[in-house]
Amino acid sequence: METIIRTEKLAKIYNPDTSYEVKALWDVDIEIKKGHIAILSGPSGSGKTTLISLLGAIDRPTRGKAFLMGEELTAMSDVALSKVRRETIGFVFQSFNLIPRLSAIDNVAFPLIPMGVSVTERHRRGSELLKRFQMGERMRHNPEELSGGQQQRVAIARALINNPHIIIADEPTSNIDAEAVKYLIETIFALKKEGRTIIISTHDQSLFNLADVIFDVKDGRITGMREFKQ
Amino acid sequence: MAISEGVKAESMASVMEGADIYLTLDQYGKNAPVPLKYLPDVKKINGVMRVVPRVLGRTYLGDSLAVVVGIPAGELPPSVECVEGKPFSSRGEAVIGVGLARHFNFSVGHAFMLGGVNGRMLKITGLFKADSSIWASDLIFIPFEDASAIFKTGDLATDFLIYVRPGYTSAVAETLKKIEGASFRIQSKELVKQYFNKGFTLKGGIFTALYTVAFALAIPALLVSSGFGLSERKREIGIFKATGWQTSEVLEMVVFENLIISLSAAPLALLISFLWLKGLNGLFIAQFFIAEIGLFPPFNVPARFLPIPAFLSFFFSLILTMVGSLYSSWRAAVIPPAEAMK
Ligand SMILES: Nc1ncnc2c1ncn2[C@@H]1O[C@H](COP(=O)(O)OP(=O)(O)O)[C@@H](O)[C@H]1O
Ligand SMILES: [Mg+2]
Repeated sequence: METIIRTEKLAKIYNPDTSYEVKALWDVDIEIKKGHIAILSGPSGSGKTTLISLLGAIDRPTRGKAFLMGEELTAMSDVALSKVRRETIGFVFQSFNLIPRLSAIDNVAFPLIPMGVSVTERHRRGSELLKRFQMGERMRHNPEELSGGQQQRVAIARALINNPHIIIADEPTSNIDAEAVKYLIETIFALKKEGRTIIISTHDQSLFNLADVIFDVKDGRITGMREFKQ
Repeated sequence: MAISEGVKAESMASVMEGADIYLTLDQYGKNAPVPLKYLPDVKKINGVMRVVPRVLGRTYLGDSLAVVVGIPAGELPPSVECVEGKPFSSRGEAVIGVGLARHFNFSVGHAFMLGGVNGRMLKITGLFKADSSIWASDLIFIPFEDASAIFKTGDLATDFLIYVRPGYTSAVAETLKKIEGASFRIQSKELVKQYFNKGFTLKGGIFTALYTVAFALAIPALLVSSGFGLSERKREIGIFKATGWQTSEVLEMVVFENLIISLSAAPLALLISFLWLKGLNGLFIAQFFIAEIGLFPPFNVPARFLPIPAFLSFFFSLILTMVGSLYSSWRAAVIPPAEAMK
């Protein structure tokens, strides 16, 4: 199967050469196949968010390389990275990162603004996605008026607005209730069926049986890899 | 700007009404009192129509400092028009501004003591309105002799107001220079006008600066109230970048937002200035522009808005906030989104 993401000795050091120096990631070599669900598993503080941010092209490593569909992310300009984020990646953040002053539908559709998509078209596409996630009734609500699970569905809708091939979710079960976890599992499964590649960081075992591959992260290193035949 | 333009207009008006030449003695480059003995000589000069000696001084009337003008009976300036009673005609009488009269609850016929221990009892014969010139609000006009006694000026006058026939100003000034034994300071209407203009340009500058500050405050006030704290802003820019916006697209949005916010701040700043001047009567601010009026202006601060300085200060503050927010936005946009969103 085709490799979509690959890393070579990827490392991230926070506050290098100071007394606050943290080696958050060290010598990470992983490979993720197209159409797979990959899970980064590990305890809190092990480096999952750091790694998934590098894979999602929203952070730069201190050392090492990351490749997306054969292109070296770590060598790209700011402009090229923005293009990758716009066209290829949909990121669902742990705390959702919705914009408080925008309604649900505007939060979903704002990534389309710089592409010159008209307001009507933005709202059409935004409401279509929100309806898909049973949020049709809540389109005009601001994030603070929504539950954790509902905010997550808005965040997932936003990640899908540009129809990206790769969906990345950081600890998606950490800020939602048990009912919402069930819904999330169904959603992830549906997205895989659409052919997308999904990368999830979690320490929640309830997501494990979705995985094609699980990478164990500990103290900034990959300590194990388990592959599953679905 | 509104205040200083208004004061300027009024000062100019009173200069226009005033004498053609203000005469004092020159003492090391400063104004010094003129001995009354020169009065006949000055009156004799060809072209001079009228010479009015004045004694100016300040003294306490009750708890407030009043400006006293001693002037011969029948010589009240044309701008001082009695709204009640009539001008004084003999010693022991006075005409006072309605502002003072209201403050002390004085009316025509009242007598008051002016000048402390050496003071004089003066009877009010008339009240005049202060609208025409702002400092008139606290003025008291009394006969020349009473003022000489109160301020113990002997045979000196603070200045001579000289009225000349049209076109004679420079000829009279030349002749004044030749009077034996005196070195005069001769200030013509033109000079006084220049002096006012210079003084007020400076003050106008200060007010324009304050006005700009009002803008500079109104815009961030709107920014803050619309939920753009600095770290909140940085986070938002991180989110925009993380969802695929380019740095240039973020900056475009910032420019657009700044324009919208500045345009809504403009009426706000105008409204604040307007309310301040009309409602609070220029409280605190007026004292910077009109010397010696104290914290609470006792009269209506004359205010007048000029569109061009208003536009310039708007434009200036727009540029300032634009540059400031573009810079901070650019800083937030060029770091990795993961870092900006923290
Ligand atoms: N911005 C940062 N500055 C300094 N240290 C950081 C920063 N972000 C994360 N860390 C540290 O890096 C390590 C890995 O963090 P993280 O990737 O968030 O782990 P996880 O997501 O698995 O909980 C932790 O020790 C954390 O304290
Ligand atoms: Mg984390």
